[in-house]
Amino acid sequence: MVNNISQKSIADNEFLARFVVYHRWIRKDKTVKQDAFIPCLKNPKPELSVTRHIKLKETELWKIGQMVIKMRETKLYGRADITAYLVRKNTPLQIESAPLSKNKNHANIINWPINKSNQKILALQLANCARFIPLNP
Amino acid sequence: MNMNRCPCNCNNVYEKFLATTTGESESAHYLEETANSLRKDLSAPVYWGRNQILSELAEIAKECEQPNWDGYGAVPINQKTIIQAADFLWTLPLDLSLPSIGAEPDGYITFEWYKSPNYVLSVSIGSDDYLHFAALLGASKYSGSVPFIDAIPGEIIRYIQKIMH
Repeated sequence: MVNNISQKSIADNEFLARFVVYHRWIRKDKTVKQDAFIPCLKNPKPELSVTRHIKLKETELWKIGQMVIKMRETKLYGRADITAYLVRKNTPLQIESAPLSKNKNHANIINWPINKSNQKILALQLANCARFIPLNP
Repeated sequence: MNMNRCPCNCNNVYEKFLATTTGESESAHYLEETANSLRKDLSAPVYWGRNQILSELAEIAKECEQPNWDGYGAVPINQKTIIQAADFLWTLPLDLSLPSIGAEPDGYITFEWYKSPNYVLSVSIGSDDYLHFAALLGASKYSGSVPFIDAIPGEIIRYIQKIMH
């Protein structure tokens, strides 16, 4: 892991991981539903939690995913990977580095509209650009 | 109708569904009345798929009843949302394909009709008496919110038909 991961700037070619912790977020053809990309209601503004791949080994990335599910009894099914470039190209959303004590690579996708259907169409576009990586292929 | 002969085991399905919302509340009584009226019609094959999806709705009610059910701070799915979702399913015209069902971190139930990544409709239903939808139809994208009172709006029906045909 890069020591100075708190760098604010997220390059276009960076991959972002949205951990998939609910089985109904995955379709039978192994694509991801927009449900996985709906932002959480956070005060004051909605945001979508992701993890930057940057300089992480595959095993380290999965360890972070396992940490997410430890917060409650659920299962890690995989992750949906998307590049920062595709987020910015296809939506008005922004990506903000937001390191956490247990996840220095944490980031948030922000600038979501408040309107529900507008959030959905953006989530649908993100899901369409993402690639599902199962935990145990 | 003899429930014991019903091949879809719907008696257990509805007992399970009601078990998620038993109580003396108005919503519990509503669900019981709905289930009772369903039982009268369950001999028709066209309802078998609906039994299955209602069973899934009951599962989702359990899976998403706790705060932070997704590890990211998700909001629990509340009882009114479940009832609204059940109403939606039963209001769907019988000649339409049934959706896949899911849940969003902000407490909505989702219904998705999917043909391919560029032909998909997602409808969210919560406790706010609206259907919020987003659709990709090839190169075109659509989204909006429509009231859900007694029937599914024609706009939603048309999107479903475009996706599935």
